Amino acid sequence: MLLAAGLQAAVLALLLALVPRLTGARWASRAPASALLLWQAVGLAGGLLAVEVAATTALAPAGEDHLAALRALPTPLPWWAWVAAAACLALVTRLVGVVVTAGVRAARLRRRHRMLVDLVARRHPLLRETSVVDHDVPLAYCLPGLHPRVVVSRGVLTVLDEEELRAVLDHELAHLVQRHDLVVLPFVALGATLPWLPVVRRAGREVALLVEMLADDRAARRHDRTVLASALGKVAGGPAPAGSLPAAGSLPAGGSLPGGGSLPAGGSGVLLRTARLLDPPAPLRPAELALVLALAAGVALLPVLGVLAPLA
Amino acid sequence: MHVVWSATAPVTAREVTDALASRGLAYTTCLTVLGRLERKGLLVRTRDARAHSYAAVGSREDLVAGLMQQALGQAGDREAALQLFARSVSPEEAEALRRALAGPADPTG
Repeated sequence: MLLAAGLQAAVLALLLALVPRLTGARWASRAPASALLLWQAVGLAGGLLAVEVAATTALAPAGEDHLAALRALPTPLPWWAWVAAAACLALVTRLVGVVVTAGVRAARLRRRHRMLVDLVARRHPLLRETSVVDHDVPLAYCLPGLHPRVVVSRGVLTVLDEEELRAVLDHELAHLVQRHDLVVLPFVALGATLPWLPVVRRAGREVALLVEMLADDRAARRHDRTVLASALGKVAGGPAPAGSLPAAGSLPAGGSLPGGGSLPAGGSGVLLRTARLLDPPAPLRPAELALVLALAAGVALLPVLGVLAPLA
Repeated sequence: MHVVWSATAPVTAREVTDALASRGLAYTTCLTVLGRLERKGLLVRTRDARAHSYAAVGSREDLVAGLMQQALGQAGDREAALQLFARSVSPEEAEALRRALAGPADPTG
């Protein structure tokens, strides 16, 4: 059964090796929801496989397969099996612990933040569900949870017109309705546990960006994409000073790209999102979509196979 | 809270009740609310001859500034707690954004 543990470890390593290919994948921005599903599957499978490697190693001396080994317990086990068992237990505690801790901490922060917002903010006269805070820095965000709030600063109200503001609100409401906070939570927890691992950091950034794209798409159902893009530009880049927009002739080489909507890739999330809104990529074809979903299902099934596969 | 902020000196629960008379709040309600705000660290209580007086710990502007800092992630825990519409970008990126947004409206672009 040690062979099985080795196989599980190999699958886990393979999975981790595939993660960098998943980050920044071009197709992801064409189907953010499916990409997120795949990310969740990878996260889940990664965690479960890691636990399995330790568990299988611990059970290896006791029997031919997992079931037989469990039935044979209690059996005298060599010392290294005990080490593996302890590692397994620690891993489970740790994985569950970080997610719970991250969730509880976020909830506490949110509660305190919401209390203060309710204290200092006023309701927007037109959009009642919005809290307006007196501050000049343009800022819009939402506080997810059971008693959610959408907060905008006065700075946002001065730079955005009403249509843009409504688009921003729909973006935030998408976060709240689809509970994106829960989607990113495991990756936030992972980032808090292994912040030095580049793969983890990149995965966290990627998931956060995909969630924003998902919210953009939902807001774009009810608003013009250019309206949302312009709101994005105004909030992120500050208002364009009047007359500062360069004429096409004065642009540096490569500054003005075909269609006017393309942006250099590899920029920050805001740039990618703007480019995506102005020049929407074609959604995945059904066959491609099916492939991604099948991949997600396959990845999610890996830990199950790890347990059920005959262990010679 | 707004009553406490607009007052120049520490106020008592009685004074708050009077200031909010139009809302018909009971004295005990005000007392409870003031007590809760104090426990949350927003008010400090001083003991006068017979009644407790309350004063705001920070001004309204201080609280707003604190909120905005938290929202901008300077407190470090933003990721999990709230979702920002857009973080501000570097000047170069802002310029690229502006160019992209100006593009469609620009016939020569």
